[in-house]
Amino acid sequence: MTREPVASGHIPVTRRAVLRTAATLGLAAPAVLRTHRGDAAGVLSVTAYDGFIPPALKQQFEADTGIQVRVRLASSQAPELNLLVAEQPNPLTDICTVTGNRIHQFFDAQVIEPLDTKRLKNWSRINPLYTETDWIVVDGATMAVPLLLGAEVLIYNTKQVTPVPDSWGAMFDPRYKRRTAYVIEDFLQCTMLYQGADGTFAAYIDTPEVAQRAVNAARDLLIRNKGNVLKFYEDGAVLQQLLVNEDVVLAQAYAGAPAKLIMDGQPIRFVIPNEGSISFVYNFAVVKNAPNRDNAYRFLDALLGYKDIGDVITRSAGYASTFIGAGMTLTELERQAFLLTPDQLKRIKFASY
Amino acid sequence: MGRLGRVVLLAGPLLWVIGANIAPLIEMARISLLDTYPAPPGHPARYSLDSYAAFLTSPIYRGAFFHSLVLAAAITVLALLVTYPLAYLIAIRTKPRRRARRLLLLIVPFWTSEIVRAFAIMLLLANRGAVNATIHWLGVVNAPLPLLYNQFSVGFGMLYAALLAMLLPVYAALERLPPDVLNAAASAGAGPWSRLVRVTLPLTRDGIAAGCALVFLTSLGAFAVPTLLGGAGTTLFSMTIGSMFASSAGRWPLGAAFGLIMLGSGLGVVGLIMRMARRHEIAPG
Repeated sequence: MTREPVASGHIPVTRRAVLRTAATLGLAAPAVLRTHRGDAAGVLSVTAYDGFIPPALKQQFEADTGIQVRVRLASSQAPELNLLVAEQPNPLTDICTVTGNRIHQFFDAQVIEPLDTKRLKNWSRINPLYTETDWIVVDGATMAVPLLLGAEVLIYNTKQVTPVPDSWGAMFDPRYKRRTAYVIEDFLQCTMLYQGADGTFAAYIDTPEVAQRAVNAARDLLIRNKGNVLKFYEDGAVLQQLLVNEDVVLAQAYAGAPAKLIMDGQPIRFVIPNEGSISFVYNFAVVKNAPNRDNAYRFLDALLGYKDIGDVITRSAGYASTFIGAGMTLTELERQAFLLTPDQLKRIKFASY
Repeated sequence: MGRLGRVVLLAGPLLWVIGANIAPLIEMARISLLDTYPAPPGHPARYSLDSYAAFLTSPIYRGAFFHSLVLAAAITVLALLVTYPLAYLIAIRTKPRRRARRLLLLIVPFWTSEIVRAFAIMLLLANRGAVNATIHWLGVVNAPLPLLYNQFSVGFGMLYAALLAMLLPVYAALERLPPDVLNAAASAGAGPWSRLVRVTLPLTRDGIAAGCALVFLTSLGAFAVPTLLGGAGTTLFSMTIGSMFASSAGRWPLGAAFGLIMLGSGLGVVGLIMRMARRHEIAPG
C-alpha cells in the first residue's frame, strides 16, 4: 500500500520519510556528538575543583585567545578517576585535577600523559620545592603542574576548645563526645601518625603486613572512640555547616575547609598537630588523548603567567599556592585563613603512593 | 490511526523504557558479576560472584541492609498516619472550590530540591537552629537538645521527603469516594469510626497501596537526606552503595550487586503490599 503525500502544509508522515529521517539523524549524530566533546578549535574542557580556575583568569584567557573554557566540576579524586577511566580512549576533558599522591595511580590507569614542560615558558614561576620532587615524576617525566598545597589540619572552635589542641589525640578526648567530625579515610592516616606509624605508607612499600597491622591498630582506635563522632562527613560545605552551628567543635579537614569561616570572622582556627600531618599538592595534568591538547598547553602557560597568580588562585580556591613569592598581596587575616606557617610546614609529610 | 502511526507513537515510550530503565539495569547486573570495574586498560575484568557472596558473609553490610528495610517500613507507616487525615480533610471535609488551594499549600514546599529541604531541616534542628533557640529562649532547656545527625533527624527528613508520594495517591482515592456511600452508611447508623474503618479505608485501599509502594521504594533508596542529616550511627544501605561507587578501588561490582539486592527486596515488599491490597478487594456487584 502506498500513501499519498498530504497536499496541505502538513509534513507527510510516511514509512519512507520516517526511515529517511532516522538514517539522516544516525549519520549526523557522530558529528553532533563530536562537537559536544569539545573538539572544536576554540574549546578547552577542564575538570577542576571549585575555585581552581579563578574567574578573572578564565575571562582574560577567553578574551585573549578566543578559546572557550568549559569547567567540569569535580569534588574528589576517586569519582574523577572513575569517570576519566570510563571515558578513555575518547576523553571529554583536556585537563584534569590530580593530587600528588594520586599521580602514579592516574598514570597507571592511563588517564594522564607526561607533561611537556618545554611548552610552558612560565614553568619557572613554580616553587622548585614542588617541581623538583619525586612524587611528580613518573619514569623520568614530569606529569603535572603543581598549583595548590593541601594539608590535613585539626580545626577547632576557639571558644569551646581550650587549651589550643596540639595533638590529634584531642579528637579522642571524652570532653568532646559527639562534638567531632572527620572523613574516615583521611583521619585514619592522621590516627596512624598519632600512633607513631607512617600515615603516608611510604615506609611500608616492602612490608605490607606491617602496614596492615598499623591500619588495623588505627581502625581499632577509631572504632573504640566512635562515640566522640557526630558525623563522618564527605563534603566541605557540610563541615562548614557543622562548625557554624557549633554542632562540632573539633574536626579533621583539608586546610581549605576552614578558610571561609575564618574570613567570615567565625571563632575557628586550625593547627598542624605535633605528630605531623599528611599533605599533598593539587595539580593540573593533561589528559591522555586530550581532544584539545594544544589549547590545554596554552591555558596552562597562561595560568602560570597570570599576574599574582599565586595569591589570585589562593583567594579563589582557599589553599596556599605553590608559586614563588605567593602570599605577598594577602592580608593578615587571609594569611591566617589560607597559609601554613613555616613551623607548620615543617610538620607536614607529603603523601606519595 | 494507522499501523505506522501506532508504531511511531509507541516507539518513543518504548525506547525510553528500554534506554532509561532496562538497559542500565542490565549493565548494572553485568558489572555486579565482574571482579573489578572500571577495569584499568590492559587489565580486563573476570566474571565472579564475589560481590553477592560479600553481602551474605558480612554482618556490616547485612546490618545496613536490614536497618534500611526497617526504617523504610517505619517511614511508610508514619507517612500514611500523617497523610491520611490531611488528605481526608481536604478531599472530604473541604468545599470543592477550596480543595486545589489547600492541596497546593501542602505541595509548594516540594517545588524546591531535596537538598535544599535537607539543609532547611539542618537549620531547624541544629544546636543553634530554630528549635533549640526557641526552647532555650523559653527556658525549657539550658543545653541544646541533640536533634540533628541521629536517627531522629534521618527519620524526620525522610518522612518529610516521603509525604508527597503518599499524599497524592491517597488524596486521589479519597476524592473519588462517592459522597452518597458515606451518607448511606451514616443513614444506616454507622458512627464516624465505623464509617472510616468499614467504608472509607476499604474503598481507598488502592490509593493507600500505591502510596505505600511509592513511599517504601523511595525511602529504601533515599540517599541525599540520610547522608546530610545522618550521623556516625545512621548508615543506611543506600549510603553503603554510594560509597562503593565513590571509591576508585574497583568496588563498583560490589555497589552494583548491592543495588540489585536492594532493588529486588524493595520490589518484593511492594509485591506483598499490592497482593495484600488485592486480597481484600471487594468483588464487583
